[in-house]
Amino acid sequence: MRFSSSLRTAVLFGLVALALMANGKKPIAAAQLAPPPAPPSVALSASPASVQAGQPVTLTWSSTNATSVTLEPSVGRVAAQGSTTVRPSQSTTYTVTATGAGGSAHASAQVIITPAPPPAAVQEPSQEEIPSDQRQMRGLDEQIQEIKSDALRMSAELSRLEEKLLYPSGTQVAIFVALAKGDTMRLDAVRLQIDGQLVAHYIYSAKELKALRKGGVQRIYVGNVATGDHKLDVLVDGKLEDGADFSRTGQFTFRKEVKPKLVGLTLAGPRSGNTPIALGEW
Amino acid sequence: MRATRQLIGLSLALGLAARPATGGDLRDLYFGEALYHAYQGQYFDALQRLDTELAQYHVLDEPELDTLHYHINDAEFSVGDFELDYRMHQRAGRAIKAVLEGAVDEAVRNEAAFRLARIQFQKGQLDDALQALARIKGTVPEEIRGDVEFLRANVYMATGQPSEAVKVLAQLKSNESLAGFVAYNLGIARLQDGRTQEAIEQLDKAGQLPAGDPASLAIRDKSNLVLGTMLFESGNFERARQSLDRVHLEGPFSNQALLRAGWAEASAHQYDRALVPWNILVDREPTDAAVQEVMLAVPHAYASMKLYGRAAIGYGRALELFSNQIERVDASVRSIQEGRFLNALIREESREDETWVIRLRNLPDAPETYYLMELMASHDFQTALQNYLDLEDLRSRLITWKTSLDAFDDIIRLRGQNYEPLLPEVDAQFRELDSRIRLRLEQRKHVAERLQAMLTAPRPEYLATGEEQIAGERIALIEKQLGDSDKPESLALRQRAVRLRGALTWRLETEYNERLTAAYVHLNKLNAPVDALTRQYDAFVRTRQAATHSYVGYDVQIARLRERVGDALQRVDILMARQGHMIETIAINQLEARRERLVAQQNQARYGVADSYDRAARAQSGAEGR
Repeated sequence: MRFSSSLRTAVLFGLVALALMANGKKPIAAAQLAPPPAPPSVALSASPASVQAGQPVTLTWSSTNATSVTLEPSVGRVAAQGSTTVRPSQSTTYTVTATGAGGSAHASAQVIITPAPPPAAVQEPSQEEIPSDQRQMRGLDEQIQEIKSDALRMSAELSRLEEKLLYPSGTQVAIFVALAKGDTMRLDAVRLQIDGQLVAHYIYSAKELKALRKGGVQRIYVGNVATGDHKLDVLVDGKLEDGADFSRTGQFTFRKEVKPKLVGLTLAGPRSGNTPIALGEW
Repeated sequence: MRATRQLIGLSLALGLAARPATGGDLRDLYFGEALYHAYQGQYFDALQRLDTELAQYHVLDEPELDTLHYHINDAEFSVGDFELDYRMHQRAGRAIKAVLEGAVDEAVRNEAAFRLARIQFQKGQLDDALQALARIKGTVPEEIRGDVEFLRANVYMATGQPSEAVKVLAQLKSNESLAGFVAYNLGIARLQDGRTQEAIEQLDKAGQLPAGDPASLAIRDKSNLVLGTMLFESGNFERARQSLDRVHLEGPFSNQALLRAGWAEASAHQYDRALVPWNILVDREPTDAAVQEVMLAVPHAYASMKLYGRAAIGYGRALELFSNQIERVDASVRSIQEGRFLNALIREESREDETWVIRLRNLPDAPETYYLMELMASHDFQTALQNYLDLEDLRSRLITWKTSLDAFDDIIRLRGQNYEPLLPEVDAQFRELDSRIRLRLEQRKHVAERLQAMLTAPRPEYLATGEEQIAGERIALIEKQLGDSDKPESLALRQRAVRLRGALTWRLETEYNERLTAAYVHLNKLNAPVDALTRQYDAFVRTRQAATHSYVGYDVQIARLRERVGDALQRVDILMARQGHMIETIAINQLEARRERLVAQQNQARYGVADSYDRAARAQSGAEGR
């Protein structure tokens, strides 16, 4: 943090007069003729002057010629002299005000709250140390983990059921899309036709594209075809690094046998030197 | 200091992020699909896919022929990572333990031990983490060597063995990718070890390391903030200020640094200099605790400089701010009590990046989430929030599943309606065709066997044509009718019959080889149609079976699943209500604590205003008196 000198100068201007005008109070009257009563005096000290939040600090004061003494904030009216313990949660300026026939006097003492020292790295508190809401949180957390396990099991069973009902292995074909390793093109959309029928037209979000670039593989289509040879038309739309649009098409034939058919399409940008659309069969 | 914990966690995560399997190397499409979901934070889908793949893999007779075999260790490791990411700590690590216990080579076993230790560290099972680390022996893969030691040091620090941590971290100093984190942790380890002066020197170094990315910059700022605070506490205000000055002005620690830099100056009675950082801080986000504290610190500095008018204005501004903020906190509490916080949380469109919770404040009637930042920095609250969202996700999945099960029922009913009237006729036709096909195949088999036998025991008569057979039979009949009569006309006829038989036999015998070859050729020509017939037959059988399988035998499974989904939905609803209530209560408690503090600050400001006016008035009357 570097501060310019002009900034320093600016903040150092204390415009008391302006402040007084702003507060609208009238100036206090001139001194009276009779000899004034002795003015009160007061002193305040805080020990220690800096602590961590919530730690005790002893405030000690003494006053003379005072009829009432108040200690603020949070303490209130106190004896002419004495001491008290406070536990401030933040840096606080304590002010003692002594009021008497001769006027009033103030004294302040500042207590600075210092941050707790850096902790030892993550440590597991023992059960007794864990507050009840945290215990409750953990109890719920365990139940949530159980229901997650249950849901995963159900989901697996459901997807097996779905596969059996909707995509039996005799007719199942699944088409996957991956990007060539290290490819930088921005894939916008992929369109697939099997035997002239449009089966998928997928537009990619930034998140999906990122997942593909990291090596993820998208299952873009699952469907049913009869055993035998099938024609697959692939249309890829995308953008190059410089923002120019490009479009590539590919035509392939794959053979569906009795077992489920997996077709993998690996896509590459036109400037990568790789085949734009490569087909792999499993 | 939660931020320190977070940073230590962050440093670990940065160093230990799972290496992605890239497109070019990938051989198993379903493993790639699991990664695709995981990279998008869809851990439920990733886990479900990978669990299914692994379960199938483990029951294979020859797993080495499966494409997952190429990635099996990565897959087992990934399951653990995904489970941890999906906050399933109880399950996380089971798959990795299996790798660790299996017959794998040293490098893989060491990587498994490291990953297990990392999971256990994150779960807070520190002794287990140490045990897992102790299993690492011999060859450690190059790419995880630094991470292993960094983790070891973290575990030592967490288990109160800072001197051990210092030894490990000192060895890691040359690791560039972990430089900032190693330097900072080394400072903290020395501090924990009671070597304060060395800690100060180390943090001083950590605070001056070059930082290229946001994470390195954050850890450097953190080093300077911690160092500045330590120096301040030890009364070394000048050095404290220097260190705090190094904290990046726009970074996450800048508010605290500005506040403390001011206190460092104020403690040395340099109030004018304290005002420089404080006046920067005073215009920042008013919900920030440091900003609220500085609202009182600034007028305090003016008062200390006897500029009571300015102090009065400052306290007045503070008073206004605290009053506004108290109203804001009250409105936030009301908003939470009315359920708006939870409603805002589950709005999907708001969850696009890491700061989504903070951005909820922009939604109408949502609570002031800035006040919950400190809470949100705590791991437990984060987990609670994420769990709430996970429950919401599960709830919508369960509802979708319920609909799917209804749809499955419909499909099954419609298929039944379609197939049931058709199948009896199809089956009857099939039975008839089936018997004909079987008969023909049997005949073909018989012919093939006969031809085979004729290779060793020639039977020319078997290859006679129909005409020849009829001719042979007629000759036999004539011979029978002629009998043994010795009439001259019979004798001539009998000789004719013998000649005819001889001619027939001659033809059969001399043409035998040709005929046998031709028969073989004809038989072989049958192979193609027979194969086609067999394929068609098999295809029909499969289709016929599929027709039955498409609607028969699902009732029990679907009914059971429907029951489970219903039960789970009820449990999710109950858990969501409890989890939501707990989140609301904790958030409200936090807001109330902030309110209490604001009220105390408000009182201080109120007193400050009065006091400043009083002093200003007296100062002025004093001046006039003179």
